[in-house]
Amino acid sequence: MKAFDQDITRLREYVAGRGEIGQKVRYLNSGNGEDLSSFSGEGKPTIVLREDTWVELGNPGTASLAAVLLTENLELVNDGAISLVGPDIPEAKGSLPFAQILLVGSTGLKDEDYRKLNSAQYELNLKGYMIKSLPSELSIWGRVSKDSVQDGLSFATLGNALSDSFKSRFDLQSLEVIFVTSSEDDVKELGDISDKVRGILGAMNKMVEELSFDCSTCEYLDVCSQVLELKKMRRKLLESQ
Amino acid sequence: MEGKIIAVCGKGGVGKTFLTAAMVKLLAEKEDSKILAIDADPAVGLAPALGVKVKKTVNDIRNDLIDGIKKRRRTGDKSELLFRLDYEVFDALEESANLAVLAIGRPEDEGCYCQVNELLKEIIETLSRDFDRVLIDGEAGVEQINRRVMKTVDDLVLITDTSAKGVNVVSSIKELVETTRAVECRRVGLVINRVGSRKEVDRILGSVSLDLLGWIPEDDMVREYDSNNKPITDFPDTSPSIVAVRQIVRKLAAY
Repeated sequence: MKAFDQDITRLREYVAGRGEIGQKVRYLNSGNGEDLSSFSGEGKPTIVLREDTWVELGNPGTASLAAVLLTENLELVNDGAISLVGPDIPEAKGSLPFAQILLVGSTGLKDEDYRKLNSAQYELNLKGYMIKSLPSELSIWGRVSKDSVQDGLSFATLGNALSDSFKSRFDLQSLEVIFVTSSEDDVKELGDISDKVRGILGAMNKMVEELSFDCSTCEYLDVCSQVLELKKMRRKLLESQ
Repeated sequence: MEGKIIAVCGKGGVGKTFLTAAMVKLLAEKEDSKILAIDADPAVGLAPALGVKVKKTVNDIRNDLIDGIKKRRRTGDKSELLFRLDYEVFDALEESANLAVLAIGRPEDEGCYCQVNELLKEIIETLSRDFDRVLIDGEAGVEQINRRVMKTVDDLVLITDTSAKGVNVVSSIKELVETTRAVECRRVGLVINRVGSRKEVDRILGSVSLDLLGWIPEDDMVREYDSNNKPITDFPDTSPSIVAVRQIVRKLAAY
C-alpha cells in the first residue's frame, strides 16, 4: 500500500513541529524484548471503574483518534520506535485527549488486510488497561488503572504491547507508534489523516460487506478516485464474483 | 455470597426497588467488591433510590443505533455493532465509587431488531462478568429479564407484600419459571415485605411453595424516604428494614 506514504512524511513533520512550538516531545526507549508478562491480561478484558482509574485517554468528552497507516516502503517506518507528544501516563492524572497512530511497514500484507490491521489495535489485552472503541469513527477510549501505573505501565509499555501484538498476528517487517496527549487541538490537527483513513476504511467496508460496486451512487467516489489501492480492490472483488 | 447475579421480581409496588437498593447498599459496603446494579424496571426507580442520576438508558442506545442504521449513517455489520454497543453501554454506566448503575429504560417500541437486542444482552452479560455482584431490579414479568437483560441469573428473589394479589403474582412467576424456563436460574427464594406480624408470614408460607429468604417489617422510614425522594443508600443501618435485608443477604450467602 502506498496511499499513506505522504501522510507518514507529514506526520513526522507534525511531531517535529510540536516540539518547535514548545510541546513536550519524547522518543521513548525502544523496548523490543521488554518483559510485558506482569501486564498479561490472561485473555480476559479488564474493567476499570472510575474510582480505580489513574488516567482516561480519549474519553467521550475529549478528542480521540486511533489509526493505522500501512506502507510497503519499509524505509518510512522506524521499527520499534515510540514517540510521545505530551505527558506520559504516570505524569497525568484525570483525563487526556488521545491519538494513537501505528505506522506499519510490510511487503507481505495485502491491501485487503488493512481493515484487519485497524481492528487489531482495539483488541489489546493488557491488565489494568481497559479499551472501548468506535472503530468506524476511529475513536478509542482507554482507562489506565492506578494499580497498573504503580506496576510501571506507561506509553512505552503500551507501544511495546501493540508492537508485540501486531507482529504476532500479521506478516509485517516493522512497526512504529506515535502517541499524542498534549491537547485537543493537537489531536484535532490530525484530522486530515483521520478523514483519509475513515474514507478508505468506509469504502473497503462498503465493497466487502455490501458488495456494492455502483460508483455512480457511492458516497466514497472521491476517496476511490484518489486511492489506487481501492480501485485495485474493487477490480479484484468484481473478478471474483 | 455464592450467587453472583441476583434478580428481584414481583408485583408493582411491593418493594422490589427498596429491596434491590438495600441489598446494593449492603453489598457495596465491602470496598474491594465491584457492584453492578441494573435497573430493568421501565419506571427507572432504582437509580434515584441509589442516589444516582441516569443520563442515558440502554433503550436510548438501542433507539439511537436503530435510527442510525435506518438512516444509513451506521453500518449493520455485527463486529462494528458489538464495538459500538460495548462503548455506548459503558458510557451509559453511572459510577459511584465501587458501584455502577445501568438503566435499561422503557421497553422497545414496535419493530423487530432481534440482532440489536441480542447483541445488547450479550454486552450486558459480558459486562456483568467483570463485576463481583450484579443486582437486577426487575419488573413483574420475569420474561422481561430474559428478553431485555440476560438469559441466566443465579438467584431469583421473588418479593411480595402481604396482599393476596402480591402473593398470587409470586406464585405465577414461580410457575412460569418452572414450566417455561422464562429465565434460567439456579435458585428461587421468597421475601415478604411490609409484614405486621409473624402470623402473616406463616399464612403466606401456607399458600405458596417457596423457600423463605426473609421478611421485612413495616417500616415508616421507607415511606418517608420514598415520599421525600431520599436515596436508600442514606438509610440508617439500624433501621428494622435494613437489619432484615442484611439477614436476607446473609441467607443468600449461606444458600
